[in-house]
Amino acid sequence: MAKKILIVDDEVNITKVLASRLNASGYDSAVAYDGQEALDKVEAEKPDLIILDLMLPKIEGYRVCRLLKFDKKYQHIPIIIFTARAQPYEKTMAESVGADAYITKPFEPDILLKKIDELLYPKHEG
Amino acid sequence: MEIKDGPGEDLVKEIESLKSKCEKAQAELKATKEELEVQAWGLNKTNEAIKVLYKELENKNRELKKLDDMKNEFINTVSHELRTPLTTIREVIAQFLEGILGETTSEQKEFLRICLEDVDRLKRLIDDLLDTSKLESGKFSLVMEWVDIAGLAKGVIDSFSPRARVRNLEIKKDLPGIKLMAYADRDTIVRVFTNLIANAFKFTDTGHIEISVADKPEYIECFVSDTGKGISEEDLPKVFTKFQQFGRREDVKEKGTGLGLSIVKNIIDLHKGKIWVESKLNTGTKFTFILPKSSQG
Repeated sequence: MAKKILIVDDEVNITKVLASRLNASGYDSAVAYDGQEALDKVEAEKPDLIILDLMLPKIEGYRVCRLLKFDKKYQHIPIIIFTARAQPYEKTMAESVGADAYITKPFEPDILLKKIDELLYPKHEG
Repeated sequence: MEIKDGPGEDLVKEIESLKSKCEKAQAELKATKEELEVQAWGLNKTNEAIKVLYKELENKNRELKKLDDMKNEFINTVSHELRTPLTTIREVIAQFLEGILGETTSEQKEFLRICLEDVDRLKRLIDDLLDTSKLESGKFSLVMEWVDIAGLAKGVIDSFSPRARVRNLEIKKDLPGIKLMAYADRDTIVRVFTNLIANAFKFTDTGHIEISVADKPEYIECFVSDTGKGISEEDLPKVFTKFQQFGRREDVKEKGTGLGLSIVKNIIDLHKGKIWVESKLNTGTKFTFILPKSSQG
């Protein structure tokens, strides 16, 4: 079965284009447009990976990330922070809330797809 | 002793004369003193005026600095806002070209490719503006790590080879077979090579473009040279200045912002390196830069 990726972004155009790219690469996708919806969709859709924007209505991205990473039920789901905020301290922030990767917009499909692949199919160490 | 008649009179006269001289001198002294007092008062006033002016100047300076910061902040925000929709557009075009969004005819593909080229051009302009504003506001932070400069250069050169084929230009590369490590910011050094090579392409019709990376004891020396139209002697000192564009030609497809070389110089400066240019009209141009292997050294 295809792996499912939840896209969380309040910009509809980005979610559409991203979903189309992910589907073409063989993934299923689901979309949430704000932080609350993201939490609901995680429960309903059980995604294998989450692409998470930071500037979100209702509950902002960092909080969503922290809530999920502190929940035993969901902490195994890899989260990629995907944001236009490019300040160096943001990356540290993302790490501190337990994000698995941090990618800055603008969107470069190759970089994003490579990271998704790494997180979904980690190479065995040792 | 013989006492003459009158010496007393002479003495008195002399004393009188001295006295009047003394009085005159005193009066003069008083006048001078008063004049000096007036002058001192004047000077004092001038001093106060200067202080006021200085304060004003300081305020003006602060205002100007604030305005400059606001300008940079503005450019920063606008560039970000411009980039987001642009990347969406770019991705949609890319997906059409890759057939993800359905089949397109070869004619449609041709036009989509035109879109893609212009979107990329716009993206370059925005990147240049964003970088310049960051470099100027001092907000540019380098992410330093050990980077193989030779490998990095090879990557950039390879990305230009399709363009070299289309333009029928030869790319010569003189790279060492081994890794050449320097403590540097990878992305910005890629930018330096990209800007210099793109610049060489822009001004070269025939001949070749040569890129060299060489190991020196303390630093790594790189150059990008071309057999292009060259830069005149009077224009040479201005090449690294913002918004300077020499020999713009109508037939040049890729118009720049005039920011590329100023960005290159800023990046090299941040790495505590040096860059210089040699050129001869109608013969070619050579940009050489050196990077310290470790900027702390």
